[in-house]
Amino acid sequence: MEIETLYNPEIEKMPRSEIEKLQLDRLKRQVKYVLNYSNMEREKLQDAGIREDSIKTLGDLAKIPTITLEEIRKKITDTGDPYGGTRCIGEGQFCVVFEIFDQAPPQKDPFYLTMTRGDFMNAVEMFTRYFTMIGVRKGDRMLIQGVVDPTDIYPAIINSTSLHLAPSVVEILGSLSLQIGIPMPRLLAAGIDGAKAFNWVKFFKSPVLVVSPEMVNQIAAIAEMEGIKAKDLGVKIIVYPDHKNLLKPSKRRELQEIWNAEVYSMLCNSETALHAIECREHAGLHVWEDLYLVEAVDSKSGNPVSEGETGKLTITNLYAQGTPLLRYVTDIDVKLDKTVCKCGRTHVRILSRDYKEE
Amino acid sequence: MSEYWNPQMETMKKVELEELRLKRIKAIVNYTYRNSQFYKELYEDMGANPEDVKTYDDFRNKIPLFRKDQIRDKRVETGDPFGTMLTIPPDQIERIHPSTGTTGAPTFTALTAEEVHVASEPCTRLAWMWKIRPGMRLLSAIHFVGFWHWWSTFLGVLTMNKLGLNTELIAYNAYLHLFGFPTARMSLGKFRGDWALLPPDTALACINEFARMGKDPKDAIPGLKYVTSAGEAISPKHRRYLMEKFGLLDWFDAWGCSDPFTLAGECYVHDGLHTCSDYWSLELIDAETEELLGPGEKGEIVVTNLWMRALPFVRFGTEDFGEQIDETCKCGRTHHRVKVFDRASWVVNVAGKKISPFALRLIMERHPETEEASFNIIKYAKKMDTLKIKASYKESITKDPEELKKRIAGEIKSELGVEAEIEWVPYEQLHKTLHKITRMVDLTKEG
Repeated sequence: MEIETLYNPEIEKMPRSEIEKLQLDRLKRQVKYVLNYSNMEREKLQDAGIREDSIKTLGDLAKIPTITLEEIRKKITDTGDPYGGTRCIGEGQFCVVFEIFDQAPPQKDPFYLTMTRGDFMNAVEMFTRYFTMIGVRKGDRMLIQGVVDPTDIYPAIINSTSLHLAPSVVEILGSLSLQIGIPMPRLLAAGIDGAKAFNWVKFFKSPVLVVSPEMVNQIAAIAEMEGIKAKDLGVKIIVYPDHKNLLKPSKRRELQEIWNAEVYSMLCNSETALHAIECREHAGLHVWEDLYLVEAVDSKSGNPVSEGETGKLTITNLYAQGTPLLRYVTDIDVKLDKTVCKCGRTHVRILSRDYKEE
Repeated sequence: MSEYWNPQMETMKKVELEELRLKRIKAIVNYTYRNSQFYKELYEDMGANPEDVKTYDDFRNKIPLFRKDQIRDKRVETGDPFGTMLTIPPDQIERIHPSTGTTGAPTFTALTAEEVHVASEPCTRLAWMWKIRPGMRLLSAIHFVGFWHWWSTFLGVLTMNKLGLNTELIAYNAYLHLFGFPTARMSLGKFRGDWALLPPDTALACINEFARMGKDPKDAIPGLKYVTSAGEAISPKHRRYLMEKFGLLDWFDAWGCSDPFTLAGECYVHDGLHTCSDYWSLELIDAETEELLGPGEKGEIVVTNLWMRALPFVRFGTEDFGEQIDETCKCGRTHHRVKVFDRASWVVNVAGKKISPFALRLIMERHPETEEASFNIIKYAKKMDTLKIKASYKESITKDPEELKKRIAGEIKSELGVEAEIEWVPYEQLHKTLHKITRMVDLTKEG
């Protein structure tokens, strides 16, 4: 029997023309919103001469100036506002603020991501579609990195049960999350956490792993030390997160060989809460275009590159109310593929710069 | 605003509270006997019959207590991650929290969705007691927010929801100072938080760092009014020092035990930590002989969780060493209070006397030369003749280390009644567990 992998079929298989109509509506709304509430974005948009009614087609997106983390950091230093003028909601509003660092141990000042209840709902929707897509099912136990690394926010979204901001991904899926980790950044606690994670996997026979790449390797190494093959741990699905690089096909095959499990690459961007995961076809990472507008841009000119060319991944968040960013340029080199995926989903896929069809 | 979140329950008459507690104790004993294989075996092995529990004394005398190791043993024996304690099918569990244990084989707290809601009530009572009010801005280390045993439910927005929808929670990354990352650059100072959950070691790291930068912590973290800390018992002197440094209105100490999901915290009176006696029943035993102890005595704290049904805990030895207070607090709350000093296993036996690191700390703290009482007790044998201590001193204010040694040893002799041997070592060479100074270093267990 074919397993149902569509959580929201109407959206996930939406024809491109309709997706673009939806995106245009939401982009207009976001532009209006940041003009009203975001000091940082208002300044940038006004400098570029953009008003509420300037966005008429999706092509007008290129008129919107890009924004980088460096600019935000500069604003933080200049104004003393920890949000660098990106925050749109006032004091005394219900929200959770996450502190996001560049790496562990951190080298630079953090970015503060503010998430309202609505933001959480959308992020939860995003992950629920992903996990349904890769085959997480009711009753499945998911081993999730419990420590929020200074750079990651995905555990907080998947496990939003703890925060009660929104019905959580695990609640919706009817699966059970196992949160591992002691309150330490992963570098320090690496050895300890690996042993713990191994025990959890063994005890609970957890078929889904959503943990850092280091942890995946450690669990396999510890299993070997204990005389158990990683294959025999019963793991079926591994989500392999990274901030910059997509999983290489050779590396994926190697992991699949070790674990006898399906391995899915996940790209994380914490500043915009964008996460992209592969489907079973492993033909690029799906992005939900009703929630995000992604482009590949030329880092010098800030213009989108032509289709199929490599550019820097640029993200426009179409739902954020807390700290929305328009055309946020990341440091990730990608190609975009807007054709319909073999899995039937119509949304855009992110490909690595050296992607070749297998 | 009222001092209490739930005045009716929190200031309930003692007699009624005892009645309620006994009723709930009987219920949980019966429930565990009927639904949990672990407890059924435990009770039957000890010849305990739940029907015999008619009074509180019956409960303490007839129902056996157990410790963490028994769960672990059972787990190895049966291969069941919950050691056959679970009373419901595993798929009804809504969340699992790992214990703090770093020994590789963690134990768990399992809660159903309903229980998470039940748990929010005592959590909110404590939040209110710690002066958290609607509209406040809360600062918390991120691992307390989302994932880590009871704090996550405490700070979970469920509790925040109860307090009012305009609360803002700022989750900062604590422990980064271990990487040499300046704490001052973290969110602490930037957001004018009203209340913070601050581990004592992070607080000290901040103070040291601000001192290096030539800043006053009061200016560096402006607007902070209240702090709650947990992890290590705080002495009155230490509290005064921290409050003064940060310019706070109050500093509350908290204690929690992750497995039986137990919480306790100080009120503004600072005379012991309040529990909610309608949610947890606490008692004291002698850690070695398992003799029952009454109020006023010091011993191991034993917890019975009265509301958790999925993974119940009845007479669970926490291995924490403390004292119980039964009188009504000056704040008007009638519920039991505890004073928690140390892990029970940290208490050493010197010349027939039991010495807890906390008692020693009270002495060390009187001498500012000792770097905020930084010391390790070295347990070199099960029964020792002299108390061996490793400690460090501040060179800038210590004139004669040998004289200081004698002074401290003299006070230990007169107050604790044992001979002490102090060895000075640099601060870096003191034994630490990740970030905390290990108060008792056990050499008898090695090898």
